[in-house]
Amino acid sequence: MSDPLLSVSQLSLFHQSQQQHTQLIQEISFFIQKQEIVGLVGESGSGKSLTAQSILQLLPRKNFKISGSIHFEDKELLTLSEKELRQIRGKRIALMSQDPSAALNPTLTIQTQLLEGLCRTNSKITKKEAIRISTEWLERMHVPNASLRMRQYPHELSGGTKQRIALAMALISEPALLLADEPTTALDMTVQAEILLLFKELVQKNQLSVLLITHDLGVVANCCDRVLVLKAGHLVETGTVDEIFSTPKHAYTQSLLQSKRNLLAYAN
Amino acid sequence: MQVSVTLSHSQRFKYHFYSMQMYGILILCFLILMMSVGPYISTYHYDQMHLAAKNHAPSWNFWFGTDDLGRDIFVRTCYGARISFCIAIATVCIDLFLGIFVGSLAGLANPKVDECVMRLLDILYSIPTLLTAILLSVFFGSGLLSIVIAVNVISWITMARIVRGQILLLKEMDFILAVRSLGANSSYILLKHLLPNTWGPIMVTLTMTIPSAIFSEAFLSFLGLGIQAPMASWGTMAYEGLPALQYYPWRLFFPAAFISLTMLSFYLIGEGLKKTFNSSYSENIL
Repeated sequence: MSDPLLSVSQLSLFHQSQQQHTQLIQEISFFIQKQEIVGLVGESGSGKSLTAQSILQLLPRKNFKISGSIHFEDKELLTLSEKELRQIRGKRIALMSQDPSAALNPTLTIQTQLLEGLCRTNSKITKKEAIRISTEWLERMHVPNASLRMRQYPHELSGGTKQRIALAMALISEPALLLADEPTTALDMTVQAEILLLFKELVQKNQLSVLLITHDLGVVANCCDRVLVLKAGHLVETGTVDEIFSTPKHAYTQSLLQSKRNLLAYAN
Repeated sequence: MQVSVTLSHSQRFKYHFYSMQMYGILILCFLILMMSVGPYISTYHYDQMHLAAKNHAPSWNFWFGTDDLGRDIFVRTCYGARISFCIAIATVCIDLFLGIFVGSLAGLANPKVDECVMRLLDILYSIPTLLTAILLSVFFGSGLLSIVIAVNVISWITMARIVRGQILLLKEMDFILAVRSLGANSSYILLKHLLPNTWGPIMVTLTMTIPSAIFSEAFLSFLGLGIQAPMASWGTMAYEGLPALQYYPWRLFFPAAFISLTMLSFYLIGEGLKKTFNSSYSENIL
């Protein structure tokens, strides 16, 4: 097996305030291979989003302390300066944040925000070319009326459209790794399936790897290669999708699957 | 469907725009017109005395009447407007540059710097305007310069506070996280993402600080600390007109009416802007 794209070992995250010192992530270790979709599941508050944000070190440094090591493409991310990190953020590792309506700046048009990411990675690009590429990306995200959307402001769009635009913003600079924080929560089932299909396509064609944060086990079963199960900051179980779904070892994973089955049974 | 949503938004914008700001802007335009062309359409000069026509009531010759030295009140009111708008422009400049700069510095810097800056501003804020004006007029002599400084020593602090508050609020929002995850640096985020989102509150604050600066000037001139004779300022004219109120009421009426009109126009514009910004902001970010 080749070297993994991202390998995280013994990652701990502490939050310190004047009153107390809390450990939010407890020495978790995992890796992501090239062209792999890894699911990160767990209940809310278990530290899924924090894991993604600590990989890019987007948390305020004064309150959050990270220890351990995060190795990405021959670089140790935890030892990089802020300036070097900026070279990696967006260009090599992109983050798509959770809430689509808050992820877009309300005072800028969609076009301005999409071009921002594109011009950052590729400074020689002409504006016309950049607009063409952005429109293309929107079309790939199944955004209807892409060229009209480019000229609109976020408040004029629906939640699903905004989510797809946020996804396009993250993917437009063609990163090697996408940290997708619940990318499909605001989308209806058909669009969700399309987006997941698109993930698979990008993984094959563009050498993309994805860390897919979700609490939807259906999404995980659908498109992930491996699964990490997080509970209260502990990584309680890892394995391939088949292993996790057929023979869950940890009690928490079992109850997670059981509750999904119960829900389905109730629905039927 | 999308088209109708866009329309209703612009309709709402227009409604608030016309109902409040329009009147304010009309009054403001009238005042600006008056101060720019007023002195040229009148045949008199602001310090030209007509001793034969002292305390003349408003008439065809003297539209707003004359004062106790026979000077035409219309021309003097126009010059008073110029002084007031000078103060307004100075306030806007200082508010926009110093206020926004200090506010965004405090908002973005680490909490210790923020704390120091804000406490310094508190100390500065506690200095009374009147005291500053008296001290400055001792050092620089009474005049436009000391008035501008005295009025603006504290006026920009409100702006700095508003900008800081907005930036503290906005910098925690997800779209800033999104831009940071794209690899943007602080100054880019500030100029491109934070300040544009602060324009609403900045505009509303400006429409409150401008009239208060104009009023402070009038007030200081009324007390004799500001603009000196023979220059005309609304405050000085009101002061000179006050003793004659019983017999020659127009000498107080015109400067006082223009002070009120200016206050009203800025108030209307500010209220209208507040409503416009609130209606388009409330559903989206707040």
